[in-house]
Amino acid sequence: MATVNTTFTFSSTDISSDALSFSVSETLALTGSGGIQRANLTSATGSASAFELYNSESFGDNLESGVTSPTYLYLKNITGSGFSASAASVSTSSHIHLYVSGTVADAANNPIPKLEGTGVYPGVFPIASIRQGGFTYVPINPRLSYYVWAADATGSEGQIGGHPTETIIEFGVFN
Amino acid sequence: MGSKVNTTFTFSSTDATSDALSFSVNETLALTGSGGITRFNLRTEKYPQGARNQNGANAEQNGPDGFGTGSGYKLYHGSGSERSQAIDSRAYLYVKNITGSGFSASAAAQPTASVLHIFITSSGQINDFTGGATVESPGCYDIARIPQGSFMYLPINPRVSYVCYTPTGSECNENMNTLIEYGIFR
Repeated sequence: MATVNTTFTFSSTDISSDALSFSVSETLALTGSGGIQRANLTSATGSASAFELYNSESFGDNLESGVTSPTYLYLKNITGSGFSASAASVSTSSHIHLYVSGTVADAANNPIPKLEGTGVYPGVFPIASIRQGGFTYVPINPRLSYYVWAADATGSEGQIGGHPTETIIEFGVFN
Repeated sequence: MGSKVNTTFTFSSTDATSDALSFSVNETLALTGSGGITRFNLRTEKYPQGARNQNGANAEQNGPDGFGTGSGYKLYHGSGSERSQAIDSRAYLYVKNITGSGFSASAAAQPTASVLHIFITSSGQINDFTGGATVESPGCYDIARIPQGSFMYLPINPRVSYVCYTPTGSECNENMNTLIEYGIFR
């Protein structure tokens, strides 16, 4: 177990019109984390269509049980210079999309539709679209699972049901 | 007028030997049309009576556990079927749950909430990815639960709306006294 300090800093070159110079921070008690990992969405284990960042039962919680532990997700789209289509045989993607889903098969207990590769995508729309070089930090809902896939900006030419494009991500889950 | 906003997110660990968590990530955003950072009490300043149907929200749209969007505060109103905006628009959401010491149940007549919930819903009908029939997003379970003192930074999907609320339980339809701080950057 370790303690992780996160600091998020805004600053602006035009403070006179936008009061955006401030900093927020928090300290997390880190348990069971695998630290920060990088993965290629094409080659990573379990990434046949989308890559699972967090499973709703990873920390023993599920839809039926109460959730008391705050859990945090850090995710960055790394793909950039040195890892482009010109350097790889498979095309790269400049966007990664984050979406949520449940893991319980019983529809009565899991009303969250999963994204499907049948030509129609009835599932939840992406909750975040992260451009190349961008990142996100989310206190996640531990009752859900979080997935990421690589696609174009709209997500409409994505890889759900197919194979992800060559895309490097960096992520960590803290509980 | 646009300006540049630099965001720096820094991790550091007191136990780097077991967890390689000392690093920093940065990005620079072109800021246009932002209202800066605003802070308010979700109940007393936005919903003094716990009113529904604020911000033009449709009470028929359901959030988590049947929670209507009319009971939440819409942080960002999505573009709906304007898929092209997903290509051209970058939008970033920062939200913090401020409620803490000095703003507790003991200091207020109404009880406070310690967790800020975020969920997404559509702003109307959205074309599905086939370009055929339109479907209305029914909302989904909380995509984020922000404990007291914590924050979220999200490059949002411009097509959907982001709503926050602070219930006492899964079936509460009124916001609790909760200070939040948020900003939208484009």
